[in-house]
Amino acid sequence: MRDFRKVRGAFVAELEPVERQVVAGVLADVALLLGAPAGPDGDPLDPAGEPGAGGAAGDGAGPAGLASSAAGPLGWSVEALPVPEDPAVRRLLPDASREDPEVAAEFRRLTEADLRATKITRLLALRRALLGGRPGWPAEALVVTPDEAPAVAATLTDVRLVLADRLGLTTDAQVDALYADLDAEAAARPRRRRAGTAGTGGDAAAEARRSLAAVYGALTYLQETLVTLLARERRR
Amino acid sequence: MPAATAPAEVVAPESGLGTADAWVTLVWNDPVNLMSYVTYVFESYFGYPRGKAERLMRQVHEEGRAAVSTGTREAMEVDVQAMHGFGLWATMQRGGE
Repeated sequence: MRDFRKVRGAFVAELEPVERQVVAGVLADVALLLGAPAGPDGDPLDPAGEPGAGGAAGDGAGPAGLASSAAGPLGWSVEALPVPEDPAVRRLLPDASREDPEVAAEFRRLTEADLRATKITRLLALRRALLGGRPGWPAEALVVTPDEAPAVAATLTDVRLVLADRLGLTTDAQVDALYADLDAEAAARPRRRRAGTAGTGGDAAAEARRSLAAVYGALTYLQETLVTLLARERRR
Repeated sequence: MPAATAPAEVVAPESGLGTADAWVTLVWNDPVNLMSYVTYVFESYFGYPRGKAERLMRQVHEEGRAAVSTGTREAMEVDVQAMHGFGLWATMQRGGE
């Protein structure tokens, strides 16, 4: 993986094929978590994506690309909506009032469907960009135009929030510890490889947690570098 | 960061409205959102100058929350929805509470 850099007027990161697959999988999971309908293969249905058409669908770019946020036909609900049970979904669609349940319920009724649709659309657009590539660019390039960048940055936030919930990260100290672990692991990796894998694996749960943490770290890095470029562009 | 200047700046628009109509949008700290991103959101969405955006970001980070906008309930609904769209944890309440 390589951080976002400005290339030919676009923000461009590089991800290896396996990294693309992992990140695309997480994007799909979060879209499903937010209520995107699943297709027969279990992946979220992507109305804008032509299966097998590669990057063609995303190439309309501009407003129809990653930056678009077409909401469903119903932006609001007549009935009160229940508070999401999954804490990660609740973090993405939080109560709008801490002390007044009526204010929170009214806000949820008016806005939740819209927010879900916006987030799902953005997640699937980024997934398309990862899996389809973009004509005229190397296969490993993740190309984000300045117009698309705010939506991508917001989507990286959404995904990191869900991963943080699954990793049980609730305090700044826990997040700092996670980064320290990732750094230590990166530093130890060559040594461990030489020593063989025996005795270093731990159980499956620990392994799963390690890979989630690695994805979290990678997405943080991508978001930080993208936002730095975006902010610089804005302040010019 | 000169913390002493932040509250004055935040409170001013509230007292200016001075009606029962005044609501406020609060953004709360979370361990996930990056300082650079929160600052960027305050700059790009509210149009705040970089200095003010950074002050508010630091207030969120250090004090746990900051009032980022004030206005009618309807206006705050729009702001809170936008903050949730950005992935920030925002709530609204009647001003002065």
